[in-house]
Amino acid sequence: MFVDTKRSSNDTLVDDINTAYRSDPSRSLLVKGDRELKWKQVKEIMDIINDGGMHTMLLAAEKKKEL
Amino acid sequence: MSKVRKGHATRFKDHYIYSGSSHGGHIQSRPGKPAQSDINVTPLIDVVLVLLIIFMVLTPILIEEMAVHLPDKTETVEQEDMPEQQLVAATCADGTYALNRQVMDLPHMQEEITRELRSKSSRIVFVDAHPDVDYARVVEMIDAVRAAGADTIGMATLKTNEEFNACMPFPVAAVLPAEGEAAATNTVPPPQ
Repeated sequence: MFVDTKRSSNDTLVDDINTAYRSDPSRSLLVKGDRELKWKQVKEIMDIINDGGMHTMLLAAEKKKEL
Repeated sequence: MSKVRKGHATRFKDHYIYSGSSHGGHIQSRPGKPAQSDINVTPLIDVVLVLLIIFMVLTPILIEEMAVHLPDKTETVEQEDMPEQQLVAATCADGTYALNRQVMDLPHMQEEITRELRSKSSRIVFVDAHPDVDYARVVEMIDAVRAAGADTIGMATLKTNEEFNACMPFPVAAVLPAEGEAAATNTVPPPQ
């Protein structure tokens, strides 16, 4: 799990996001994950972010690699 | 030898004023008419003050005993704010999609949501997904919901495999026969 390019974890996720917001409060929160990730894994992250006070986020899945 | 001058009395209303005597002047009331006594208001004032203090002490106690315990505030939703039928788009375990528990493909779902949102004042669509479905399938569904015109997308809470039922059709309510009527078509009528 990464916040921008900095490695993060479930325990430090909210703090890392808040740190990133301090540098630029106008940024939007994008939750991006691999296509093969299971929904429950992504939902768990979204719930952590939601509990941290951030209720609006963008979702994105990694695009298919064209052969 | 000088004469001792006696004092002389001067009548003043019902009193005599002696002056010039060795005893000095003094007033002496005349007997016969009773003295008029004024009402002594001091005890009345004392009673009033005592009553006032009693009421000052009792009033807060009485007010405390009249405290009303209200129930805890519970959030209620006004009837007119509740959506008549919520739109719930779901991604099933096998990657297929369902709208309000009716399985359909993604383009059909988008058309249905577009049609439903035209008649609704609030353009809210809820999305749900099986916990083990691929994240990419869920994102594709959300994209379709957004393209259908939803302004707000609500996320349903994560459910376990057993709890997830957004892709199951609604159960058909069984109609029980009234008392005396035949229970089913395959019942054997009594021999005549």
